[in-house]
Amino acid sequence: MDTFSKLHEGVQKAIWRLNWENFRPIQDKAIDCIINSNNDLIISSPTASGKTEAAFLPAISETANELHESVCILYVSPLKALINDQFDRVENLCSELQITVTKWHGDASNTAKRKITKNPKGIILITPESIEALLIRKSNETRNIFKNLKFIIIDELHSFLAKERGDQLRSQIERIKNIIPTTPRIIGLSATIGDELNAKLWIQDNPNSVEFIKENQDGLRKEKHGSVHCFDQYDQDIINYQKYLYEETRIGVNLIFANSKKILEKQCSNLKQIAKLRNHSDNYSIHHGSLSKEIREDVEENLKDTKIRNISVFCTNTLELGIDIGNIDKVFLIEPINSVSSFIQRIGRSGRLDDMPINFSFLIYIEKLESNSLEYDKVRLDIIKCIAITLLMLEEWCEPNPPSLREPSVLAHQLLSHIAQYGEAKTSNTYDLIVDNSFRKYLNIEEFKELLIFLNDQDYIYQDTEMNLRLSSKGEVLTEHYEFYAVFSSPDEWRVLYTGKEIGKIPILASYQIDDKILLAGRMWKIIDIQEEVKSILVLPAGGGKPASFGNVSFEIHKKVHEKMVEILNSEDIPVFLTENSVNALAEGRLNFNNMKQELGTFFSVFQGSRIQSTLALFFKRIKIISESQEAFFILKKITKEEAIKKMKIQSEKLSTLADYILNEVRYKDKLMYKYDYLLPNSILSRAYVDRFLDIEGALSFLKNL
Amino acid sequence: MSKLKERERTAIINSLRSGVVPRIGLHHIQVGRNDEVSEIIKDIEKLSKQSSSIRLIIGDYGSGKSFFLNLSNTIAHTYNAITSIADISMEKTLYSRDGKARALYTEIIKGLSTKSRPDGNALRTIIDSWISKTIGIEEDVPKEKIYKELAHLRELVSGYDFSDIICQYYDGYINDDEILCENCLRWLRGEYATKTDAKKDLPVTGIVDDRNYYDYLKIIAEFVRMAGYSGLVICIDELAVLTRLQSNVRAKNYETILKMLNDILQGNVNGISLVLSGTPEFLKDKRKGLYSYGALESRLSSNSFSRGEFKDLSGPVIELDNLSQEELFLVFGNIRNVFAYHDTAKHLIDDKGIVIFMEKLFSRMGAASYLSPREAIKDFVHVLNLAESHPDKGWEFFLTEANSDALEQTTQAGTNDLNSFKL
Repeated sequence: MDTFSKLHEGVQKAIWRLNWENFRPIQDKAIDCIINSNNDLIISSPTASGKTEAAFLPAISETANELHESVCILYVSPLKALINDQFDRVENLCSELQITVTKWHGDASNTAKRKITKNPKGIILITPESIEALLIRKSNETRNIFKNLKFIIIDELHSFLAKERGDQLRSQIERIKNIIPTTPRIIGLSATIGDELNAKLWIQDNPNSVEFIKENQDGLRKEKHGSVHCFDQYDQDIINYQKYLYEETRIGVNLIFANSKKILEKQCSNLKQIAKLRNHSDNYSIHHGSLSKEIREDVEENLKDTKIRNISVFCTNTLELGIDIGNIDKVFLIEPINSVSSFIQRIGRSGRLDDMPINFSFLIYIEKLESNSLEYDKVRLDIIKCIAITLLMLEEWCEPNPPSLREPSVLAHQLLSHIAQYGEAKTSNTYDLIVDNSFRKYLNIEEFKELLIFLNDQDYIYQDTEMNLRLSSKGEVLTEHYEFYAVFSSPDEWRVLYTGKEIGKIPILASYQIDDKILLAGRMWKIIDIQEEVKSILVLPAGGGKPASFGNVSFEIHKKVHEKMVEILNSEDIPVFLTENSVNALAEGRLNFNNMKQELGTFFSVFQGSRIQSTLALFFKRIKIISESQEAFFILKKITKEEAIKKMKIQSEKLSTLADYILNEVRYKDKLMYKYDYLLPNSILSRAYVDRFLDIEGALSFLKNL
Repeated sequence: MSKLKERERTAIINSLRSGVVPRIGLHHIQVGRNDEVSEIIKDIEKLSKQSSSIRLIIGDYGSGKSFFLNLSNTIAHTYNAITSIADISMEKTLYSRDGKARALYTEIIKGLSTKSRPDGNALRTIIDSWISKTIGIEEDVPKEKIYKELAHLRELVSGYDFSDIICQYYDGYINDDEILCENCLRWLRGEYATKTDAKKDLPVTGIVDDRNYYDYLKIIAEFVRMAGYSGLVICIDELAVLTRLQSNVRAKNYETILKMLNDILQGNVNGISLVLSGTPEFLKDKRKGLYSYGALESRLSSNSFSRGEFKDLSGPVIELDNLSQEELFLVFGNIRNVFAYHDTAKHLIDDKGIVIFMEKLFSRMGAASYLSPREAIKDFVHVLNLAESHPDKGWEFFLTEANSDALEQTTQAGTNDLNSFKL
């Protein structure tokens, strides 16, 4: 029987109306798996390869007769924007069957949410934060809404793996299962899954019950045009860099990626300025998480609009994930990138049409070298990293997803959320559900007791006379605030308003005053009023001034990336994708690297990835070797490399027992890294610190080979 | 002691065996708490004089709160009052903005009971008796007369819609329009969720909702008096559930209790006896109990001069201590009598047996403070059940078994490490 005829009649009609010629291979396989087995499923294929339909068509087909009376399909997405985008596509599939599709996230309509709460049916598209809000604030209604849930479809699965939000989502799925009679099947969707087994283990304990469907990565094998281009002050100053960027991006549909919002805002404002000076039309927009949803949705609409052919958008990873924004002519990266998987996501935005190549360009501004420049700059590590990432991408290597994180701060968060959900909770039930089921026994019973004692001492919880766990008022204040729904931190943000309309939000890390100037949405604004009680800043348009600062994010760098970088530094090959300036910068970096290795007695080369680097940095601190860590190597102070190695070998026992050092000698507050770390006692936090950032085994074997 | 009916005997034994309060025949087993009961009787007597009262019955789980509420209702029926018992739950609260308070109101109205209808659903009986008492069933009674009869109600807050509904009901009643009557009852039970829904069925402007349900309870109290009853006794059980609500919602619920308390104590309410019941923790816990709400603590904290058995019962709070050993002995004796239809010759266990049973109960550590009457009575009924169905073996045989049951409970708590984990 062919795939089409296996589907429910209503779904067949919907497909007929869509005018498809045939199913793609992943759709064939996914439909077969959902209809003919009881397994969970992961679909890994490039963006715009029909994943969404591959998951929804069989899920709708299987539940077509029940969707009118109950919610059978829950779609979870990491981004609100992605939900808005998928809403149209899913509604299109459902219109024939008249199935209700409801958007459920912080910015979605409350009327629609209320309607579906009263009369639950159809498909709900939701974020993990909104699931949290549902469980805490509407625990009774949640049971009713999901009572006949059959499928949970998780989009951008890779963005949940080994992240705090992934742990939160896993735990939420267990908590939902705990209150409903059905056991929903899970379908994960992703463009990049680095490690099949780890992804399966995230879905469930038994990887044999998870099928994995992968599209041949033709998308990535397609033609690629790309270059690594850099500017330094020898021949072109910063003004020329901007002029060049302007000329490159003035026409066509382009995305310009940076890692920090601060750089984005600055460059976007500069290019707008150039357009104005030259009397050109302003084709520049900006898209990042601090902007209001209206501005973001406008930008997304404009990118999709096939009539607009000249538009360039400055963006961060908010446009890296799978929102459908149509085809992009060229992707620019104006800051070095730290992971191959993120790089693949970004450049995959271009070349989406069959006859178009993937087209990208690194445009990196590098400082002119002085005698007192940082060694990092002297080795031109930024450029080397761009080359390494590009080469690894061409070799079709990608970072594997680390195994499920089992992040204890999220465990503590879920523990409090669980108590808030019921108002009271039995200790043993809580252990079974949260620790045993959701966090796969990350804590043993004794450690769990330690956690409870700590939370009791800190006055977040207490025990009533019936021995139930309850939230004390401090715990209530914490869990009842909307910020509790998200397990990742966003700094306290203030709204920026112009004539009553929200332009966006800025973090109040810096203190602002009236008449200060801030950059937001690519424009300069002057502060005319600050309303502390409602956390709002009123502004008027202005010109010139210093930009608002956004907090920087630090990234993990995989060992393989560093190994590739040192390979490039030690080789004499010149990759074809380098422009002349980059060839010079590469030569400069190689020369300085070799010189420092041979002549600079304090240059301690590592190139083993960020975990071993951090482990060694702590080890140095413990054995009192003073050093400066520069991403992939150390600059030693008051000691030569030879002496340092000798000292390290003699005291290697202090490396193998580094966990004790972190437990006993690193200050508690210096170990606080994640949003809810402060809910953890020192013992658990110290163990988490090692799991998160360090690789003691790896550092030991590095030391052995010195 | 009045004669025990077969129906009562079955109800008592079956209820006690499963740890719930029997609906009927309570007086056959009631023991002690004479002071508390006479306070409640005073409240009920005052009802017919149009005065109102509010009480908080406070006791541990299993100490007999629900028994006490049911007993109050039985007594109230003998004074010709209308009663109702409703439980608070996460879906039924005193304050809400999403229908949970209305749901509690609906349960109260559905539970309305009279002496002849002790199991609830007496709303229709009440209206019908108002009709026969004030208007009679002659046809062609002019609308003005009905209106005049209800004039008093229209002076009350929300009284206008209520009297309209009663008029509509009368129309349906006289014209045998069962659909119209049922719609009116539905309206009175607070089962219309929106005004739009109500307007489809009835010519009214408003409905009973979360905000006005208390006004309607006051109107119904007036109305039952007009229908010839002495007043309305509303018991609300399981208030401890409120401690599990989110802090802001919980505060609003406590504010509602304060509002009712003030309203009743200031004499603004006619003919309602409101009885709320909850655990000591619900009352006294300063984090989540009523005492977390300052204004309530000052009104409810016990008379600091009262000592031990010299209880001050004039305040709203009535604290039920666990039954004393002597009282428990009497309860067991009464249960034995129920089994034997008050025929001493048919006793399944003698006094000595009860003493031995109790000695075993109280040998458990902490029993003096923690043993709840509910659990003890459950065990006792189990023993008598067994003794009754196996006449060849005496109670002595089963006593050992029952005791091991109770022991098991204590050890069970000890096996799972986390269940007994104390912070």
